[in-house]
Amino acid sequence: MSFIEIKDLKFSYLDEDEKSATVINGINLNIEKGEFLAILGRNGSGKSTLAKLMNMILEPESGEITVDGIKLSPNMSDKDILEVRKNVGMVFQNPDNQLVATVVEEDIAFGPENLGIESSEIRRRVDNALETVGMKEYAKHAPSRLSGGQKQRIAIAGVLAMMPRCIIFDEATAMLDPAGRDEVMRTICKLNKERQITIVHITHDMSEAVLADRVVVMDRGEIVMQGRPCEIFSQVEKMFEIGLAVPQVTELCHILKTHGVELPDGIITEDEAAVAIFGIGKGRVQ
Amino acid sequence: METAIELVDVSFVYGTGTVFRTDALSGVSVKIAKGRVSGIIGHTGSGKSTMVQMMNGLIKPTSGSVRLFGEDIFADKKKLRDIRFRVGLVFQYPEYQLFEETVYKDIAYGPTNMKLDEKEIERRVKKAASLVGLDEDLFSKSPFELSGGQKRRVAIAGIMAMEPEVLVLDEPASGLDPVGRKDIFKAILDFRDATGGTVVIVSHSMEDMASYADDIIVMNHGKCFVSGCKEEVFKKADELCKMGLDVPQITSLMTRLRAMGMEIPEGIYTVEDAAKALLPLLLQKAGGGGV
Repeated sequence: MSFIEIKDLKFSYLDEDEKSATVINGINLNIEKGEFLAILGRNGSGKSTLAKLMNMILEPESGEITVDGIKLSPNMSDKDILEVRKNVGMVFQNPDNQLVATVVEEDIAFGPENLGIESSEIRRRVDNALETVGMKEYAKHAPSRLSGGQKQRIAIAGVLAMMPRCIIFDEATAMLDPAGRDEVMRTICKLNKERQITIVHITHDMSEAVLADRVVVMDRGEIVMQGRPCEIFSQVEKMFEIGLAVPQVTELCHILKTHGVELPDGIITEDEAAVAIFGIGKGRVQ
Repeated sequence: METAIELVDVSFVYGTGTVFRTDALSGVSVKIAKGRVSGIIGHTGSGKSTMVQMMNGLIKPTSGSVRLFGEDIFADKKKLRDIRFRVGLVFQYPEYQLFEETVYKDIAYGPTNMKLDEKEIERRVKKAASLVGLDEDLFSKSPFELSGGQKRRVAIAGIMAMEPEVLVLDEPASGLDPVGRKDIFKAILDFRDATGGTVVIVSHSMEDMASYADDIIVMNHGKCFVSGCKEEVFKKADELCKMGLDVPQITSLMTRLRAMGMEIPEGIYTVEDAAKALLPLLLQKAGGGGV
């Protein structure tokens, strides 16, 4: 069984004129244990709504979501809701909106404290979480004096202290500068590779999606494409049609190919592009 | 070329006398050319935001002067209000500052404060809305009903409606999807073309600046590292990379291929230019002769 199973999911909300607007329009998606999934889509395509449905911040209108065998429903017990939220942590876009305490380690302890965990265990979890996100030396610092990337790593540590099996990042890198984005992406990859935490990463940044095992593309509340990053990004024209982008090197290789240069399909990283282009260039010079 | 804004040997220190004393800017001299789009790039903490807040008089330099068309903006305190109309500043995530009941009122807020008559206000609101691509059907809606991208455009239109001589925007496209980004930059360029105004954009994205800016100022540790037209600035791609700035992926790929021995000219920073440079090299038949 998959870690998260989503079946025929629908969700809509009422706008100010009491008209119903459909945001999620029949989604079927399975997310495997230990998978790194990236979700792409335009603003308003339903990505964040989908994320919020996965840990019961929102309730589906119809359809089914199962998280680690627990079926989500409005009548489920508080114990089960807690279990789901413990299992599926979320990190949001604005680091300043997610930190609650005035000292870093207290902020990280907030989650486990609320779960009623014993203090020696909290201590152990806080230390462990800080170590994992590489912020150990900041334990006694004030979150307000940290950079955006550091704040997001504290937010991640706060989620880690609840020992989740899956973390959803809802555009968690959007407000960061390149250095901050890099810090957060390295942390995400580490959690996935070393701790086998399932990752759902919602982003507009194509270079981040390249790092995922699988990419899901949403458009108007539906999943319109899914596959390995190289499979998705090779469909350059389709991506542009949906209003998304592809990595610059992929676009370059696409243009070169349409002009008759024999490059392989699925080039999505600078390394792959350099090797492939140099390989052909070298052959031509001699 | 006429200079719209000039910073002359500007320094700014905050937290003087405390342990947090920081030199946000030290000895910065830069010129922003009239009618051009200037991009300011640099790390967080490099002094970019301090710099743009000086341009409309929100922050006064500790030393040095800020000149708007040759005039020291801090020379006469009474004129500062006027300066803020002439240099419009759009903050990061400006949609968080929307507050009026309707989209129309929000866009009209600036011009109303300028004590313009109703007719002129209406003309400006309509013009600004059309520049950012907002339909007039939305005028009577609450700004809070709109999508994120639309809210951003309402906020930017509010500043454009003041018809400032210089439009300064701090990270105008952050958080938007690729099409949303393009739309915002198109609106900014349209504003420049329609008014002949000057534009200053603070950005982390060299890819965006490569596409939309004419001139680039690179800030590093409170100093101006390099400034000039983008062709000149991107020739220093290697150094910018070392500073930890995210040089466009395409520039980095070209630098790498050149290092591997391919004969590729310097200063390539868009996909189109890269394709143009590479095609003749890759399509040459083994026996010579182009395509």
